[in-house]
Amino acid sequence: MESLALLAVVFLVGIPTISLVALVRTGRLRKLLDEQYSEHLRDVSDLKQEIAALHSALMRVSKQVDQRAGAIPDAPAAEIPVAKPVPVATVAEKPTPIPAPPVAEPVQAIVAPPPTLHPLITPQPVAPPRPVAPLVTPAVTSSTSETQQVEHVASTAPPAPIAPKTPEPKGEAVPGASRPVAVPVPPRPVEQLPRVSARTTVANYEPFKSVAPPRKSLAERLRATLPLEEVLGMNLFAKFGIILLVTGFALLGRVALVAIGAGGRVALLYAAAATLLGGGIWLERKERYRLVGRTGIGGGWALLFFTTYAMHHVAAMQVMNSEVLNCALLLGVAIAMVAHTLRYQSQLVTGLAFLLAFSTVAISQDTVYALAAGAILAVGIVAISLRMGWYELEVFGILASYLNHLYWLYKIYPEGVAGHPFPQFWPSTIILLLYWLTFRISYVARGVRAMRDEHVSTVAALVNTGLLLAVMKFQSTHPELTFYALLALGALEFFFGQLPATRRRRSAFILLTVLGTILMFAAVPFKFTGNNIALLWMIAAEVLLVAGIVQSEVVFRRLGLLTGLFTGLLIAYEAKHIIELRQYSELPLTQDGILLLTCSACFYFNAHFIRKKWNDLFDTLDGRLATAHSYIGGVTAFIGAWGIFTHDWTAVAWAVLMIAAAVGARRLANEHLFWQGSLLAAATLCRTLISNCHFPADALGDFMSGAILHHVASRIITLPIIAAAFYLSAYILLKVSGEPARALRMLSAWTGTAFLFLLAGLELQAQWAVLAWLLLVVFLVEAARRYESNTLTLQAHTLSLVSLLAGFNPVFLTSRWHGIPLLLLVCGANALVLYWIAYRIGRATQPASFQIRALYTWGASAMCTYLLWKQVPEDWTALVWMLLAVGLALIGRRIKLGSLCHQEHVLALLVAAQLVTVNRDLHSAKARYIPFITCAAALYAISRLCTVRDASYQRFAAWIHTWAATALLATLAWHGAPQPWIAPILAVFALALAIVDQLFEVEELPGQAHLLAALAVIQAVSLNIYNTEKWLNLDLRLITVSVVVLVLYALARWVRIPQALRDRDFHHVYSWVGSFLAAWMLWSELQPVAVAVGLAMFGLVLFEWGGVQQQRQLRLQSYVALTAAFIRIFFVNLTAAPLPGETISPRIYTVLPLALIYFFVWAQLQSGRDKLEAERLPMGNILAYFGTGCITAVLYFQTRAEWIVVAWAVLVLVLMLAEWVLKQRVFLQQAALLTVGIVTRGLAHNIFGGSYFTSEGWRGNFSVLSLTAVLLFAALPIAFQLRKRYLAQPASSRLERLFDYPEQLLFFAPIVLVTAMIAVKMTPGMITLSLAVEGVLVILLGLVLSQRTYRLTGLLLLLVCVGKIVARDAWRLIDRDRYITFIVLGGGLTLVSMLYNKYRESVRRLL
Amino acid sequence: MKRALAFIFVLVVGAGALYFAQHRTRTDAVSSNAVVNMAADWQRDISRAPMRVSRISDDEETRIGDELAAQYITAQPVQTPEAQALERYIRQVGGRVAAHAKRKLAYQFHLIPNADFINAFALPGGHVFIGQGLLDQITSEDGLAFVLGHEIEHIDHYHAVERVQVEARLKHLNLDIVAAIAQIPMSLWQAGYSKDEEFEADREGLHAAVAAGYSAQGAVKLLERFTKLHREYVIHAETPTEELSQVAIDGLQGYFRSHPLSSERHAQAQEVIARDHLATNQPLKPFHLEYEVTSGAK
Repeated sequence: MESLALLAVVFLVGIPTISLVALVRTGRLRKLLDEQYSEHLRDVSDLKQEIAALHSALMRVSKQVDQRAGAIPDAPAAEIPVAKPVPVATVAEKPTPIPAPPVAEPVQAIVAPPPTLHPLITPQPVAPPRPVAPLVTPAVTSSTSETQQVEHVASTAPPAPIAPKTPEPKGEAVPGASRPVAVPVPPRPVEQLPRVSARTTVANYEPFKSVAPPRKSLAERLRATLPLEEVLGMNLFAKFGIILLVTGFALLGRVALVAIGAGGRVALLYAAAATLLGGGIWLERKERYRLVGRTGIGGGWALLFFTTYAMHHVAAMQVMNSEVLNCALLLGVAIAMVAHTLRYQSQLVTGLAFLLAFSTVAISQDTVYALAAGAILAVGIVAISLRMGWYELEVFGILASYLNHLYWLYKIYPEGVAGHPFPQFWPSTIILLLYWLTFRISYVARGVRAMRDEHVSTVAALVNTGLLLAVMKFQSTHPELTFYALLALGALEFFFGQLPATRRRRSAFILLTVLGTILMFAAVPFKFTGNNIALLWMIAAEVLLVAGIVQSEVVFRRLGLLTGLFTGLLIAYEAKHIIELRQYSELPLTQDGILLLTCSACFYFNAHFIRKKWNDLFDTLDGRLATAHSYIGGVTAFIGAWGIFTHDWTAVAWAVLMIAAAVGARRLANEHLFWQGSLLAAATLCRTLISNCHFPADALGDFMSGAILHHVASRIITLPIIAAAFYLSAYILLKVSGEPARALRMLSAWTGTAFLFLLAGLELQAQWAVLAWLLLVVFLVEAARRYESNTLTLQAHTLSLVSLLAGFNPVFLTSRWHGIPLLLLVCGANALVLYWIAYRIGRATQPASFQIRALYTWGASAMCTYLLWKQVPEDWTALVWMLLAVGLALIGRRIKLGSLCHQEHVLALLVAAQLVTVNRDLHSAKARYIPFITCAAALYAISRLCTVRDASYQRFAAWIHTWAATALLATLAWHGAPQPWIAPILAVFALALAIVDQLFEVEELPGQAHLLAALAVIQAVSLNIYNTEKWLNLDLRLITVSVVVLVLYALARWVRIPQALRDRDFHHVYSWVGSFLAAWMLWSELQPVAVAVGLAMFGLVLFEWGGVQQQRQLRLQSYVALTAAFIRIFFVNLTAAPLPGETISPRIYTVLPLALIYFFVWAQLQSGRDKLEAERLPMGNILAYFGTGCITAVLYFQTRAEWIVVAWAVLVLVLMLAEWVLKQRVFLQQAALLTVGIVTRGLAHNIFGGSYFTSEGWRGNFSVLSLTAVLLFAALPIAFQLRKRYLAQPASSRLERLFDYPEQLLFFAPIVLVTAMIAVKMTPGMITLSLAVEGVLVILLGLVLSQRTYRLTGLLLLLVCVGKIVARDAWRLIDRDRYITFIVLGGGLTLVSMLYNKYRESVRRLL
Repeated sequence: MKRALAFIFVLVVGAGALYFAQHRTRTDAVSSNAVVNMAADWQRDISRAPMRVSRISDDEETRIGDELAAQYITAQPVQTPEAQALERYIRQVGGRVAAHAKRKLAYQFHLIPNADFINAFALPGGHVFIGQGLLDQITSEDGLAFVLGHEIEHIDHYHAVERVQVEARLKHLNLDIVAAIAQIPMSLWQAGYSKDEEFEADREGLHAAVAAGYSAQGAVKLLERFTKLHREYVIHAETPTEELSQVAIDGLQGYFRSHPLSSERHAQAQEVIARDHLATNQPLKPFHLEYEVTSGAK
């Protein structure tokens, strides 16, 4: 308790004192800032004047240049723009006949970029010397006090020689150039530099640059935006290292070195702290190690604070019994820490010290009084943030204080305090409230000048309250006090928000007011329930709204509107029980309905009356909130009406609301009411369809069966009323303009008509309903013509379509009415009405009417076809249809109506289908042959008369007709000839057609010949090659297939093909088929294991023969054969086992010759004429892939599973050598792909796929993978040589450019394997250290080879080590391993960071 | 000229390969085994990493295996006294071999009394099934010990349970539900494992059998017999169309479909014997069926 008392005293005395001091210091600082700001304004003013003078001088020079250019006729004026200095510089650099005028010198000096700055940004070679270097260098070196890098750059850049033609300009030529601060451009390269390095203000000349900056590559952009090496190596690793060191020492003090006792541990940690502190101070003085030094200072102070804390609070180090003394010492250390770290004015130093101090305290606290250390740190942070304006630090302090407290609670009660006895409740609560009060006073008392600081302060204020509530919730033991706690806290926040000091900062006032209001509102549900909540909230909302209107305070007004809105949402949500009730009951809920309608009126009052009266107070947001009120009113009205009115009258009530909304939208010109009306219309429509129509269970089935439907009285009453309401709504909306209103009008009219349509359909029998609809169609058509209404016209079309479809009702086929077939009645009426409408519409003048008329004639003809189909016997249907088709074609051609001709085409198609499907199989020869022959003759006869004259598709239609006739005859032939002879017959028939075409030039015949030949081939392939029958003691298969093959080759030579196609080797289709048949026979005759070799040999012969004959298609056929051979080996050769006595596996002696063949063909394609062919096709490379694929596959199947990766790695090495010697990129691609395969297999098989029990250690997978990695690394020198070659000869295609950096793949592949091997195979304790060693080695390799990616990989490995420690080792390792790991890795990271800082210039040059 | 010489050289090499391939005394089978084995190996390797991460416990594995075994045992016909005696004999031999497994599970051995079932398979948790058709091909107790050791090692090295895990993942089965486990068909276990797993089971099974006191020659003789049977058993296609059909439907059935080439297994067994210096002069024990029937009658 004494610590608590001391803490309270510290708070009560210290905070006001600190606040007063901070206010005084803030005032001084503010005064100083004001003076500096005034001085800055003066500088800016001077700078503007200088720029204006410079600009006028530049304009004068430009004019002079223009005048000189105009005086010389040969000089193109367009090359010397006047207004821009850019082209001037370009011109100045070009050799021109104009003698260099003296005035041109300063211009060139101005526009040229400073070349000495380039090495800072890119590792490109030093830019060519320019004459401006002497001018810029002194300007930069004298520009700022932070000149470290620039000095280095100036020293590394070569001296700029003086250009012979452009003498060195004088310094006076560029006024202000020696003062880079005067250039109003932000320093560009500074953002790329690490925070630890001294900032450099670089003189920028971008406003005067003559050329646009070169476009950066993706890698450069990534490098600029994500400078990993600088961030990690030079910066973060130093911080990680010191964090790990301090944490490790803290753990060491707690659990290790038992023998030396508590005093010894304290002394040891003090010594460590002093070492860190002293070393940090020493290093901080050296600019190069400033960051490391500062982290050391922060870490040293943190360790000092922890040690002092541990002297009393950590049992293993307890050497002090007095809490007061310990608190005093802690306070002293904290003050010293603050005072010392503030000397450096670095948030890094101070923040790190506090972070580590918090962390070490957090891992060691045991009692609630130990939290006093955290409180002291919190006060210290507040003091620093108020004095220095480091408000980010305060946010961190808030997080640390509360989370520290929460961690202490969590250790005692992991599931929370609720339900447990908690004796430390009040001390804990007091400490939490003191935290909150401290940070809240800091928030209210601070003076904020920049918007960013205000944002940070806002975050701090929110986090303060949020974390207080969270921790209080976690330690809550009295839930009944929640209401009072929230109410009190809200009132306090609201009170703080109204303080004069707060109201000076608008953001603070708004934040605290809103926060207080939310908390007070949130308190209500903890004490009240049901409607009382809504009532209280509604009252509060109205009070806030009235206060906002009376005081013209927007915050109160918006809070009122917002709370009202939330209250409305609550009411709407509570009304869900009405909706739920309506799912199963129509019980009227009059009271609830009236309540909802009253609420609706209230919301509408807010939305439309108050807003209209005080319209000037409702800006955009307020207006939106009022609009939301309007919608809430609409929702409550909708539900209220549903509650009162039931059954069919619900839709009527909603229709009334819809009309009311429409009237409101029209009178108030309010679009939101219009949309509400639209939604109500949709709801009414749905309700009417679901409820009022009273659809029977199977309405469509009843209609189709012609059943008599039952009458519903309410339907007869309500449907016309609702239809009338929709028509009325459409009428009201006539005066409302806008596209949505027009759409709603149209939909309303459609809805009215639809309800009438439904009424007829539901109340009448099928045939009378169709006739009624036809009458309605006639009425609509005439009305549309009279009133020129598109909507009515469209409705007429829709109803016509429905009536037409209804005419196909099967019930009409068998039923009669007074002896008259219903089919005749309905279809006849339909056809008459459709033809009549076609006639009426055809007289219209609209362009669309022609298409519509055509549609109506289609409908009428369909009706006629349907009637004929049902009335004429099946055998003669095709013939009758053909007659109708001929009639339609002739009439259409005569009256020039194309749609009738189209109908003829469809009928012809139907005729063909009828012949093939029905007449072909009839037993009667008369019924089979007469229709076939007659229809074919008719098709031939009208082939040239089946369209209107000069129709665009006349030739096409004639072709189709003759093709159809030929097809019908061919079908007859196919149906009658013996199976084996079909192929030769068709082939000979095709040859005959080709010969006839050669004689008479009938243009359709070659195509028919091609088709018949194709059919013959299909027949031969599918039937004849399996035929084993004999004919005249000869093999029937041999005879028939030979005939087909001969005919195919004859066709290849004789068939007529357009010359363009022949030029494109189209006739070689026949040779392709011949070759296919030959290959098939090869496949049939050879042994399975020899087929691949045979195909490859066949492909080789075809390749050579194609070369001799200069036939490219033969080459292509050879490629196909070679590809088939490659595929074949996967199905026989690779699984062929050696026979007893066989010394060489058949896998080897049948697959490797294939590889030889592939490489031979590939080699032929790399030179001479064949190379041109290879460039047309990627076949050359594919064959090379086949060759390598054969070898790879043999290695896969012939080598033991775990050694496959080694075999492949050897192959990679061989491929790389081949690439180096032969200079063929294909081998590099194969090597890359194989490397990927090695990585995949190595990971999947050798690492993760190994046995669970039989670990063979270094003799097993370790050695295999290590050997694989070594082999891949052995290819690295070749890869670097290849990279040099590729840099000199860049690849031509994107695909090839992917392989321009082979050294990356060949580095990362073994690294991935080795890293995964370490991660999976090593013991857990060795993994981190092994990875760290690997990372360091990789970094060294990257430094030696100047490879940034290598270094980054090493950094990432080290980062993984850090992540692993944080995620796993810190929690799972035993204490001893943990602190050892922390200390060792922390030291290692610090060392790496020092190395990076030592060689940072070299690293940057290599970036 | 160089081109012509090179062409002739390639042609001669190809012709030689063609000659030797055409004059082989054995007709090699056409099948998709190469592709299937390769795919199975890769599938197994790729699925191994997630399997390692999501390893289920031995108790869970035993529960799943018991439920699967109960399902399969129920589906078998009622056993004759001879079959029961044969099963006892299998249990005796299997128990000796299983004592040398690395995981101490409750291994159980079951007979499938079907002379056409030339196969054996293992379920997770310790259940081993062997068909009477396969037993008909075994002439020594040492060979039986090798076959049972092979199946035991499929269980011991998690091959069986990993197959369950893969199947459950593919079919979205919840292995906590009995009905879900019942959806795993028996054909899954008869289909064999990847080539690598089969070789591993061969190696470890041979070691287990030898450790149990059996001769390594039992495995060698058995695999030699399998090699011979395989040559006789494989259906050889006569036409390209038959080959295509054979590849499509994978005409090989039973044991030879589910295991690598017997000749390769035989070669590996010889290599293991030589590498690990396993004794080869130990006499083979005869198949003691009569004794078992007699002792069962007692």
